[in-house]
Amino acid sequence: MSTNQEDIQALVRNRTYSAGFVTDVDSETIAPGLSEDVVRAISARKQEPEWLLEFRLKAYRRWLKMTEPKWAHVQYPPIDYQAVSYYSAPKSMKDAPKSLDEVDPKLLETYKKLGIPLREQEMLAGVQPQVAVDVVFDSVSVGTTFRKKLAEAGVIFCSISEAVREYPELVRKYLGTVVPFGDNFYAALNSAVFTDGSFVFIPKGVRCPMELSTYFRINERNTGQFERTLIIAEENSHVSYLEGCTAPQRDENQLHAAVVELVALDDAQIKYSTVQNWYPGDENGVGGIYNFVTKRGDCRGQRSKISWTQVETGSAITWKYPSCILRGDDSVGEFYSVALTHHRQQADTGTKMIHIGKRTKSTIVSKGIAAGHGQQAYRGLVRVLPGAEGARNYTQCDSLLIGDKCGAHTFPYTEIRNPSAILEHEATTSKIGEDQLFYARSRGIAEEDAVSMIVNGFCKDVFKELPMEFAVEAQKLLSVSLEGSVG
Amino acid sequence: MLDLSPFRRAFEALPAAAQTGERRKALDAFLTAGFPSTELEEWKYTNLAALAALPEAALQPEAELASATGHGDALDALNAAFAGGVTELRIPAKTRREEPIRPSDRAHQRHRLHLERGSEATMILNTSGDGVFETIFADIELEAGAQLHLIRLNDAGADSHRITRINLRLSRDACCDVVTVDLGGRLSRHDLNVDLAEPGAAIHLHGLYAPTGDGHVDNHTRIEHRAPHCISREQYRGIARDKARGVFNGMIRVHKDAQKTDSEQRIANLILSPGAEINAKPELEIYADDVKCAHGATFGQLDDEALFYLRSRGLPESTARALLTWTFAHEVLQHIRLEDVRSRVTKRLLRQLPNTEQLEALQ
Repeated sequence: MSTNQEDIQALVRNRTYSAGFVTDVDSETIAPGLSEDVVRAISARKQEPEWLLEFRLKAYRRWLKMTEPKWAHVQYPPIDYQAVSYYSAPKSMKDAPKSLDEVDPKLLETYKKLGIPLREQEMLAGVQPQVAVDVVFDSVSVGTTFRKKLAEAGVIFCSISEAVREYPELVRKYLGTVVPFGDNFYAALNSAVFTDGSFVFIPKGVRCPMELSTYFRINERNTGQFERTLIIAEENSHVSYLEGCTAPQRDENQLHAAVVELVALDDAQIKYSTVQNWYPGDENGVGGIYNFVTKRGDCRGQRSKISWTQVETGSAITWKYPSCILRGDDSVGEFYSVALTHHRQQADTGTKMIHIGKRTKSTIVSKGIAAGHGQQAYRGLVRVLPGAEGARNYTQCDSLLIGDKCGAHTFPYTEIRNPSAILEHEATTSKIGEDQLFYARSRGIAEEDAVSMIVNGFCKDVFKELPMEFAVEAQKLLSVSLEGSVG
Repeated sequence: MLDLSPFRRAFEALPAAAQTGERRKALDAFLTAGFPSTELEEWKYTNLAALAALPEAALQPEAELASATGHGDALDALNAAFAGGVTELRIPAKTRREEPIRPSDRAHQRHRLHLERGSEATMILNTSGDGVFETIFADIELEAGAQLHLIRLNDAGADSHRITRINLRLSRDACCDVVTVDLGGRLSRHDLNVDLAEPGAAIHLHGLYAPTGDGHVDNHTRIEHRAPHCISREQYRGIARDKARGVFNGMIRVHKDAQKTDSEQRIANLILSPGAEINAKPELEIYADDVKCAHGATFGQLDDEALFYLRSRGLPESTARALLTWTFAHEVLQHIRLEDVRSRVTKRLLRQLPNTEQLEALQ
């Protein structure tokens, strides 16, 4: 049966990264290095108000005093923050195109190649399920679709740079209130140099008429992407948001340090889904994105709900803990995650659920798949504060190991300070059983398909949380990522 | 920086003959390294600074001549400097020692126990419970096929501060059954490190921690599956009341070649009072693919249906609760094979649980 296992390994080995191409556009890139001048230059280029520059400078000064966190279960050579360029934008974007028609066709072509046809999508509206997309190319937002239709519903969906210009009061009121500028090393870095990202505002009582999504693309060499996303759902509103990410295939590592802040007021619901497919590096661990992300949702209102769903298949290193602060009474936090590490990929990911309000509930379902030399860690915290009467948590962490050179780890922290809290945490580790494969093959299913079926079954609990089109996408991505890994 | 000079002065108050070079060297090593800081992951929830604030009279190194040499961190060095009456014990091959080993009831102890091939023994580690500051360090080695039943108790008074560390190494097919019980003390930290070094070794851990008052109990266990076909079973239960704090950290690491590992870890906790707190972290690090590893942790209240059943049988609610809490703890205590020890621990536990008057008969 051991040959069987080797076959499976061989199946997973020849993985291809279809988003690895480079778009040849003239870019305007700030020289590598980080200093107050660079922070000022970014702020000036984006014509930002004084308060935002102050916010950036405060964050930069705090960042200087901070040290890089070392506790995660990942290993990588030291990062030279002075070798990174903190701003890069296609030249054609300098005179901010008014509509998609004015956007450089090369950029639109890039997204088409990635499977996100912006223009056609607007035209086909009404035929396909509707999704409004904001696309971010290196440091700038290229365009946002369906703006008119959203505006009719009262929804604001635009790039954060635009929001700073158009809705400064809203941005100022919420920016940095969930993830303070000095929250952690990468959040401070992001607060100092963030460039683009999305801004979503759903007013009171509005159910957003379509899915919102942002597509992030890193293109330029030696740059980092520092996106900042802010989503606010006012009382009794509802929104579902999805982000996707890719980057060219390169031999050097690139840095992506994002901050995402969600605010849900009374009875509001935010569903945030991620399909992360940054370039993961090659079989020997050369290249790939360092993905150091701070994502946090604040259930500020009573009966509010924030749900994170993530499918993490890319990045050389992932350091990411989408969290929920359950402040409002009866608020609900959810975290559904599939993380796949293959070749030399390393992921340290999980969530934090902080129960503050009464009768707050949280659910954590984490599925980790490690193949090749991949290292996979779930790191989570469930904290119940003394005032959180009747808090409830359910956590399930399952790991699937494919091959004997990978690793799967679980570090679940529980800190409970209320006698009425009820928590359950379960974790299991398994592999694809030879008997499972044998059965599938005896039914005439090719080995590769059988593995793909088993893995998809393993992830089903998470995929069913994704919006339908993206669930299909995620399944495809997973099977491509696993190509040549089984064993 | 903490002022550790009380430890030096306490040591220098010993008779000159007891201040051997080795002990002094260990003391210096401790003074240089100092207590571990709470910034370290392993010490996140337990701050030993309180030890430096103890009255000097509480620090009483053993006067009896000792020949221990420290070989580890600051705490190991501190124990090496303070410990007396070091036990070195060998159980000869293929013999069974009927009489349980109760090496000492001193405040500071250091033991080396070696079970030769196929031997069997029972060991109990505890102190007299009178000391304010106590340390127990033990290195235990089981050769192939040896079997050990190890009981570690802490039923000390409310002022006790205790640090324990037990290192176990198991060779082929050796089997060790450990029960640890913490019922008292203000501050205690216990490390239990298990090396499953050869195929077929098996470890069973059962732990109960029930801090009361403003007590703080921290249990750290680490099981290293270094060889294939080893088994580990771990069950820890916590009951915290008043303002007490319980900490549990259980690490299980399955090394690269430890295929066919079978490991299970279950942690259950009850918090009885609004001011109490429990922090638990069951950790898994797995580097082999053909393994069965599961862990679970729960926090919760007593089972409503069980309560209802007992009340329908005429038990007052308070008694029903006491009974269910006691059975929760008994899951661990039942694994103590020495009847006298089990009954003493049970009595003590009942004394410190609320509303147990009606349960006298259970004793």
